[in-house]
Amino acid sequence: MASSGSYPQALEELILSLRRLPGIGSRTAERLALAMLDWTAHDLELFGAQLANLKKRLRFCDSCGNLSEAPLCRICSDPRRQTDVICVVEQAGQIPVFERAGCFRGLYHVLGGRIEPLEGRGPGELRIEALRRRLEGGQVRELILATSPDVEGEATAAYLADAFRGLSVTISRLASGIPVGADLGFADSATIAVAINARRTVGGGSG
Amino acid sequence: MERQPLQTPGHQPENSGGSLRSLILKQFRNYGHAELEFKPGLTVLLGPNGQGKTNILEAVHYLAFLRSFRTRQIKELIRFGADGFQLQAGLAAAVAESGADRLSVTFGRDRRLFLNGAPMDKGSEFINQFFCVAFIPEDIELVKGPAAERRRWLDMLTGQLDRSHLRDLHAYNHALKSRNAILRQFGKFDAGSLDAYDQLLARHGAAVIQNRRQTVGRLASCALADSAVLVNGTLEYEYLPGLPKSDPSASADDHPAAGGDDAPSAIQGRKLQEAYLEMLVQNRSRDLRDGVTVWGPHRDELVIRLSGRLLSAYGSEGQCRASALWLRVASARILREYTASPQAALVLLVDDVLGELDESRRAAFWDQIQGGGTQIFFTCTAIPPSLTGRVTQTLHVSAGVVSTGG
Repeated sequence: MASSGSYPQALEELILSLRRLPGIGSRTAERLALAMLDWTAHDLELFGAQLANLKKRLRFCDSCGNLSEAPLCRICSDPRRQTDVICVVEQAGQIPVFERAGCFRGLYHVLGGRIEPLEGRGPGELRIEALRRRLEGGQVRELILATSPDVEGEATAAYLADAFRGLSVTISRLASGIPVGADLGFADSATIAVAINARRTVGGGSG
Repeated sequence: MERQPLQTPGHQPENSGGSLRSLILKQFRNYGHAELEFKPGLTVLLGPNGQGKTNILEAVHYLAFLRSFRTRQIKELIRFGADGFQLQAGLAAAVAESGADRLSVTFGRDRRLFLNGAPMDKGSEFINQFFCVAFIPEDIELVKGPAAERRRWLDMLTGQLDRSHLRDLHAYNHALKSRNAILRQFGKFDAGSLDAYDQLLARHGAAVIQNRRQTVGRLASCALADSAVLVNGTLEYEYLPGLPKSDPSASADDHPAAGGDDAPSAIQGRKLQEAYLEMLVQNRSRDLRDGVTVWGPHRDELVIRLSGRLLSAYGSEGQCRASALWLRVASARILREYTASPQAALVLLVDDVLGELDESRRAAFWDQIQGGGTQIFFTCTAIPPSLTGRVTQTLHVSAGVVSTGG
């Protein structure tokens, strides 16, 4: 609202486009657009080409639904990955989070959301049948449900656990609790409560 | 009975606790900028009507609960012509539950919360840094109003002692709305979706029922005998979960004294959750037909009887008012008795609720709530005789200005 008509049209249009990005207000959009004015023509052309190619080069992995440039994503086509364990996430954007941790060597499956009745999103809109086909292939021994720990995420996990109950696959749920390496004082009471309820024995007792 | 106060004997914060030491109001109601200092004990806010006495109580209440006791419209709290308000409270050190001694809320375009100067995102973590109980004329609705009023009272009280209750309640309400959405769009959603949300409803619904039942059990056990000082007759409380009568889990609840606090709560909770889930499955076809979840804690009722008769139906205006007053006294007592942190401050806000009591009952009321480090704020137009010898501080309130002198 602050920028209407104060700049030449070419700049104004760029500002409007930038404002559509999450977390970008009108002031930030103006600053970004003005900063780009200082770029060389070559850099701007490269940036423009990257934007133009974004949807041309990217697609979804045929197997797991991850973002990919090839029919199979880099994870699914990596022969070193364990193929007997699948981690189910809501969005493709969550896969890099697991990858950065570096400890999970299995494959992923992107649901493309979760069951959200209040948004009218039912299980039919999620990639559940694709997951079933992967499980029925017989190679998978364990399914890790990594949906978020809120009402919809829990309900979606419960749905999947029920849906695949008949298959000979171990189904597990990601643990919740105290952030590793963090001071206990920074954990909120909800996290502490979950961690207390899901505590584990480390020794003592004879029974 | 798990009726063990967690305070160690001899470690009672006898009047030393203090609690709310200072309060700053900016652009709040009729206050432009006021800075108040409080002494422990009983503070009287004295002045003619319409000067802003109750607004001070409202400010304290807002800092405790992030809600007003008078309105849901936050805009009403902002001073006329201002863009937002700010409230700050200083607590006596080590009194607050989290060790925080500075609370601050600013409400402008959005709400910002600070604990000891550090920003805090979640309101659910900010609230209840000190225990607060308000005694207000509208409390009569607790007795005469619909069941939702009593549920809200139970939930606020239970949430003060156990933050997880409000989380379970919030999750239950969210899951309930979601399940109802599924019921209305069945076809787009399959039976598996309903199964999944049934599990969530049972998990959180059972927790809500169990927590509320525990609070009613505490109400009955720790606050029954003394009610006679305010109310003629015997007050009885019965918690009726919003579950079908034929259900075994519901019939167990008809005898809260038997089931009550005795059974190990984890086992009891799991049993209730299973019975709850079974109940949902049994009622599914009816729910699908009606497009709404019929049974659940959204229909819980707390029945209050006076000498065997339903208070809301048969009680006189005076009996209802006295009983509502007693519910608040009992709240304060439950907070005192069952808190996990003996240092926790208890702040009572008393606003214009003693009108119907005679002098001896007023004295009995003060006897009930004073002492043990409890801090009290009381508004009045003239200091009543029943307060003689009880007041530690008098503040004069006049047109949004507070002074200590006459």
